[in-house]
Amino acid sequence: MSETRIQEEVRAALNETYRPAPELLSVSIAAIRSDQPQRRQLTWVAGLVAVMLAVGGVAVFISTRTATRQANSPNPTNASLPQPVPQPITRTSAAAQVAWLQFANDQSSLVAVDPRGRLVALDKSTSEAGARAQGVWRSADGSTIYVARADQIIAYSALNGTVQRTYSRAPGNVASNAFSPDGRWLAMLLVDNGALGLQVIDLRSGASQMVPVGHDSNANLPGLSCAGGNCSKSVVWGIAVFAPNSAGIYTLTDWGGPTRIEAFSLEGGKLSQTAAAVDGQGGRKVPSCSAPAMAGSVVNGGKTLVAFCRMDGAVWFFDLDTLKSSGEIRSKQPNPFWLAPIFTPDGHLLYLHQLPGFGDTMQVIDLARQKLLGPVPTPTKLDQGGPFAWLIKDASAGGVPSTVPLSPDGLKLYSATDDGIMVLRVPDLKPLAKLAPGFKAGEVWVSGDGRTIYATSTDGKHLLVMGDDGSHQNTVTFADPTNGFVASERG
Amino acid sequence: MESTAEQQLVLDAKGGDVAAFEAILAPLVEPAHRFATALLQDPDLAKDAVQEACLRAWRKLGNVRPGSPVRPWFLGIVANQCREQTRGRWWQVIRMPQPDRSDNELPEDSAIRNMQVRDALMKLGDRERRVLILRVYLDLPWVEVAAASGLTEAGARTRYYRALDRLRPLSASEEALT
Repeated sequence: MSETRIQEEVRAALNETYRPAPELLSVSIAAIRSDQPQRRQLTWVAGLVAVMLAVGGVAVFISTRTATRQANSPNPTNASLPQPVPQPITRTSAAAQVAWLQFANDQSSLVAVDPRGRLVALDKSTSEAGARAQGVWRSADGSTIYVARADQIIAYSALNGTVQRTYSRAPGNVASNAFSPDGRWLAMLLVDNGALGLQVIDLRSGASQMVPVGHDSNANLPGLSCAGGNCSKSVVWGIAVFAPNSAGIYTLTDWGGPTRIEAFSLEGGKLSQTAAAVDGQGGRKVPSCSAPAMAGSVVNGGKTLVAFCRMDGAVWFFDLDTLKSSGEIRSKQPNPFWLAPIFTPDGHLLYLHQLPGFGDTMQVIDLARQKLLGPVPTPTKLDQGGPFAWLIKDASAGGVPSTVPLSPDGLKLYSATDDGIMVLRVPDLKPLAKLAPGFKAGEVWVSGDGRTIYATSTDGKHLLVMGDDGSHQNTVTFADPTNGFVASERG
Repeated sequence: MESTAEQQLVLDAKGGDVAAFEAILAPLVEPAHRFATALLQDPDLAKDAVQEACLRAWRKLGNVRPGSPVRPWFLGIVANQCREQTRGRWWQVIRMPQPDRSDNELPEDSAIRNMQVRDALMKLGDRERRVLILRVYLDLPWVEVAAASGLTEAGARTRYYRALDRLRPLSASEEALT
């Protein structure tokens, strides 16, 4: 092996991780200029005015340093994570405790299992010709399963699979759907022959409203090709996200570029558009993302929309008062689609879980401070410390924090491993317990009240049902492999 | 930068001339950032390290001996700053090798190869890694490699060849496969 070969390999390896930072010189000089009054003070102390100037200089220095660091990276010396705000347990109905799963070979077919491990519903009716589901969703309160067909939406009781009612829906492909946190509204982004619309259904009355949503028929759809070459008539990249108070909806669309963000109000029960912004218009600069299926959440008391791009791992922040971009963080994602986003229900944190098959790591973003921490290996052993433990100023002794679901109180994460399910504390990921050691867990779902844990095996053919302490284990075996749980945004 | 011009800038900077210091730093920040990124394997942390090193260099300008080149002195500060960061608890707890990859993963062979090389670099001793990066990646002359590493030239060469020896099996295994 020649020296030259090794040198070439070292250069190639190091070049791969290097990213130019043209701002670094100016940022550093700015910090130095702010530092100057402090130095001068040592020489020119001549009274209170000089001291005050120096103190002012130090303050400017500190604020400059802080601002610069916030714009940069996780800082090893001053990073911290907020303690989670325990969420009230509201999904306590019997129906909200029943797990619903889709089958892998026919995702229109569903099966339901209750906390005692009993099969309570098996619905294959939706696989009938002409009745295939465009979506299977779970209500915010966990008590209802909605199956979207081409012309209607059928509501099934999550308790036993009986049909409760049907809702008529507008025609078109469902690009995205969302349930309001209060459970009243179902919003759907629908694309029909190139036109994009937002339909909102009042789930209590069945009343429906629809407004058009801006859409550029020439919007980029990177990597996507359609028969006839015109994807824009049938495909739109978009998500709809409710505000925490259920009175506002935000849509993020055409993010292949030019990205568009629009705001809608449901004040007084009437759906109306209140604002819109498009990349490149009015001086706005909005990032783009070259992959479908972004994930979004409204945080910071309804003031900020956070969106995660599965292609490049970017996390975007939008100020919802102005619909302007207010920041961007690039997470560490070695390959597209390796990270699964997990927003904590208090809106403080976004965990990014790198799937076990690709390394099983976690990163976490403090959404208020726009700071990224990690990646760290997801703990798999009980005696491991919490990798984010030192960031917690006041460790919560009793504090405990979904495939890494969150507990309904937002205090625990359940991480599926090849050796059971690790229960990890939010925010520091300290291991609290290992459930069902030896079980090769593929995906985990936590019941609405948090007292029952469901885990599929990695082959999808077995479902393990147990108490949240690992007790009372029952296993259900399916003839066909399942393909994951039907879960609401909240579990 | 010509040494006389550089020395004048150093004198001016020592007198409090920030613009002079900026002129000194201008050609150094990019290699310093490359160096820090190579040492830390994290471009963002590397930015923090370089920024901190710039501030330290400004405060310690008085330590630059007349006639001495600034580049190795500054890169030495960067290396020390990076080492301090790796000593922090965050680094000890959080720092981890890239995840193992299974056969069904997507990246091309070259990306995997580069990752293996970076992992191997991180397993070198601090001085060996520092010398290797300065010599190979920044293409510095031996005299500067030595100065930036706090070693004699002979000591720097010894560590360089020791580092190459440690990386050789990795490359040899690659050759055997190809």
